[in-house]
Amino acid sequence: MFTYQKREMYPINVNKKDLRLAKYLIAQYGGEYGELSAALTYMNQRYTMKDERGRNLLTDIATEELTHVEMIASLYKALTKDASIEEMEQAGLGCSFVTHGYALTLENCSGNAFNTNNFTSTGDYKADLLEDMASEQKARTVYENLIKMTSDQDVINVLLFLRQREIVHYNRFKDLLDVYTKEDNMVK
Amino acid sequence: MNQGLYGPFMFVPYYDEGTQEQEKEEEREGVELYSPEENMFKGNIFKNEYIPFGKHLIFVANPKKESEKLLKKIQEYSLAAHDLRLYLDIFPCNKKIFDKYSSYASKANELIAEYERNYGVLLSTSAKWENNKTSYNVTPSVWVK
Repeated sequence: MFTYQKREMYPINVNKKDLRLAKYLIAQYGGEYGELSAALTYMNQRYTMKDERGRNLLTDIATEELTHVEMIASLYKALTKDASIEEMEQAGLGCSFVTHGYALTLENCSGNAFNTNNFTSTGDYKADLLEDMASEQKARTVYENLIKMTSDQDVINVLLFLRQREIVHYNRFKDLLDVYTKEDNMVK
Repeated sequence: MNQGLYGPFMFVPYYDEGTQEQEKEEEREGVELYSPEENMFKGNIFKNEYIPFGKHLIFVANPKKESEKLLKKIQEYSLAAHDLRLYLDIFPCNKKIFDKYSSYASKANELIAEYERNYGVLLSTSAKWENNKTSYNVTPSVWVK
């Protein structure tokens, strides 16, 4: 089971409206390398990990990714606060407004719906961990590209924090993969 | 290695960890940790894992309100504990890291309890009956500012 704390993992103090960036930020919400995609992938891979170490790591990282989903949503809400319909339209969010109003949408930033087709679960824990390492690197790259598209330090803080978390997750997946690989090779 | 964890008659952990894991753990012995406060500026706790992005740095503002100061401390200790827990998931026998984790996690829990006593509930299980409703309703959701 999961429990919830009604507080932020990292302070989000964004006061400047930026609809252009908000539109791009959606990439990390419902995009292919986004936080939700990562959370669900790891959550789903837990059941075929080798032992408790893998099960714990995937559960804990998936849980953190869910928190990141919430952070991205908070950031989006802050960036679009008090936006008029005209402003939404100018930023390319007109279509989003027609269909979803001011709601968040599970899409990537090109407007394609959230897609589970490329979620990986092979049943082979080492193959899955390698895939997860790649996912973390892809997410890191998206954060770096987002940072390049803004000059608002309040937003950059959050994106830098999330980027560093992806690096940590990559390291943990790598640690686990190394441990499993060594153990499996020894058994032969 | 804490063998006591596995019961009085089992001195061998349930998985054959061989020597590699011990070596790996010893490697990690020399690795320094950021303090909980620093780890909010970096985004992680193991010093050797921080990779800056260009010249960008994180600036965490110093909050003025007492409630926000306390919330910041909660974030610092929870993140520190969380990062160590991810490591312990893989290396559950590292007593040194566990002790550190344990102290940060208890500190975070104490701070959460202190926050809830003074400023409002964070966990639904801490809710109290106040002004004819559950106090969990009073705490705003994180995206409501």
